[in-house]
Amino acid sequence: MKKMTRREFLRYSGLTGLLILSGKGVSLVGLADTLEAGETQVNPSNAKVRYGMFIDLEKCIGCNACTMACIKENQLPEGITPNRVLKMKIGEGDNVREYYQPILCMHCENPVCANVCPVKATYKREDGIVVQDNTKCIGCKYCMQACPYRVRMFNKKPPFSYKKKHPGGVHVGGTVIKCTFCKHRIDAGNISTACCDWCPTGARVFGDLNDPESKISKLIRQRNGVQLQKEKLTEPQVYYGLIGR
Amino acid sequence: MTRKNYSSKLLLGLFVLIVFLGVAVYSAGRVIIQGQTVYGSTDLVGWNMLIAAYTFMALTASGLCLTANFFEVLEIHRFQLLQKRAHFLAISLLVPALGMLSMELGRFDRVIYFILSPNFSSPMWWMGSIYAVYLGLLFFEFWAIHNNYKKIMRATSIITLIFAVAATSILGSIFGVILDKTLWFGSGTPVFFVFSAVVSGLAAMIAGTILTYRLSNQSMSQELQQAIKELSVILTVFLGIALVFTVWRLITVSYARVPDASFVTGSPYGFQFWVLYLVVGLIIPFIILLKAYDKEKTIKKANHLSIAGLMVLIGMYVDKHIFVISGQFNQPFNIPLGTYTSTLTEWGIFLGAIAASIMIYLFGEEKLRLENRVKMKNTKSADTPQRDRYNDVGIV
Repeated sequence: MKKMTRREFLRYSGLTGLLILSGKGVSLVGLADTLEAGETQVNPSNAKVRYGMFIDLEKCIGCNACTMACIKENQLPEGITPNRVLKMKIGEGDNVREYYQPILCMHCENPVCANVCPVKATYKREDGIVVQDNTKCIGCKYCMQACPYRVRMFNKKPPFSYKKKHPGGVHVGGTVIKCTFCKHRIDAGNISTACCDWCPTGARVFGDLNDPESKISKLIRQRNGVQLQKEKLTEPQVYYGLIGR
Repeated sequence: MTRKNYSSKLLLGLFVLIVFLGVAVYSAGRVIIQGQTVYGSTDLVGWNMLIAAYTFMALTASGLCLTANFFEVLEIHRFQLLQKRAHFLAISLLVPALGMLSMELGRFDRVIYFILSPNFSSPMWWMGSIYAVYLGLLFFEFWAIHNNYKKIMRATSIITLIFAVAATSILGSIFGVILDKTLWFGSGTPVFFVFSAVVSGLAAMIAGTILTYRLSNQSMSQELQQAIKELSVILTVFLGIALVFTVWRLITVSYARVPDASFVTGSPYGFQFWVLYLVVGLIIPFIILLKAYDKEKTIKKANHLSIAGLMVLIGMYVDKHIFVISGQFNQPFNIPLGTYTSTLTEWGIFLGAIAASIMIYLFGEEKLRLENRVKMKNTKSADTPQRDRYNDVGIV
């Protein structure tokens, strides 16, 4: 039998190592696919649509019906209001005018909250909705710090004893809560949010931003819808129709 | 078997530490039972003083190891006297600091998701992971120093030094990447954290060593005095740099009229910044250190150095407190400014963590002999042959 030289030994062992690694690579890719599939399975969403909201500030009367609708629909813990209405002013001196600005999660295209979450508890669905997995959240509040819109809330209730059921799952103490665009409704085929349904003036419109013929897309075009804090580079998916002076 | 006689002061000190530890356990129990309603943090100011305290303790721990290993890598022999103590002090600080951090997490039981569901784009994931590895390396290196495994010590010191710098700067990046927070954002923050870690580490090493000798009524060897003296000179230089750095920070924020800067220089943190950080934490220790030597350049009073070290540590904590809390005050969309008042529970956990650090350190001092004794070239006795530099290092 021919004796193997050192050079040959190194060459063959290198090739064997490469083969093992490539095999491992295949299996790792497979594992990643399985995980991805798992996530998609848990969160059925449509990749063709991109959900967003249009809020007409001319129509908002500051009644806070949306706030109440959100609390009721999502069975939010006491003191948690991811959907709230701010009182604002525009103009100076005699020309000052008050108006109301509802604020909620902007479901950004580039969600900085998801980027900073150390355990991927926050992630963006294929249909554009940014959601929070409360079974994973460790309550580090990094997402709250990173969000430029201050729309994430921390559930300060006891970590192990507090549990409150809601349509999308369970609110757990010591975790972060955010607007989900009522994903439980969307997943059930009802393409609307509670805040939109409850708004008495129809100031809020929810829909598919990818569809140019949808009501929301038409309104954004007609009213020159603007995004808040565009300079933060998060590409928010909630558009506002500004008030006139 | 001889029985040690402990001084009444030491026993009283231990009693106080145990009381603080008990308060911390009680406070932690309240957090678990009542949730974070016992904290002063809000949705607008989500991170409370425990984050500031963790940052301070973690940076000091990194600074201790960073400085000690820097001297080790550069083969500056006389500082090997401090190497073992510095490493154990770092472990003593980091372990309670991580425990304290877990109390700030809403669901600390879920940290397993750091492994099961890692997000590599998150600076916090990197911080947690790097600090976990770093803590393991610290234990490993301490074990090598304790058993005098020279080659392992040498190799590990380089790796630990790299991890200390990485951990510290990544801790800074947690704040530095947040575009929305004017006082936090920027590439300068991680660099500032590394610098701050070195200052805190030097101060902790000086104060810790001198106080240990003073409390145990031992006198320092000539070599150790020399090492402490040189460390205090380095600390003086770094405090000078910190002063210049602070002045420039003030100039830039005033020039650009950064709105958030008023929280630091005016209300609500004006007193803490000007008095506790600038005067107590930087200027007075700087002056004390400058005047600590006589004309022959020997240390006049070692106590002054330890006081200066402690003052620097107070200043460094205040700096982190101001940095973490005031960075969160400003709000968008005319939302009223965030407010924050620390609670007794937070203080209980923080002081308990400090007490735990001191107790772990005292345990190490008692059981693990933290003093490395090095025979210097110029002090070697005639009957001790000069061997390689590690052979002269021994646990006596």
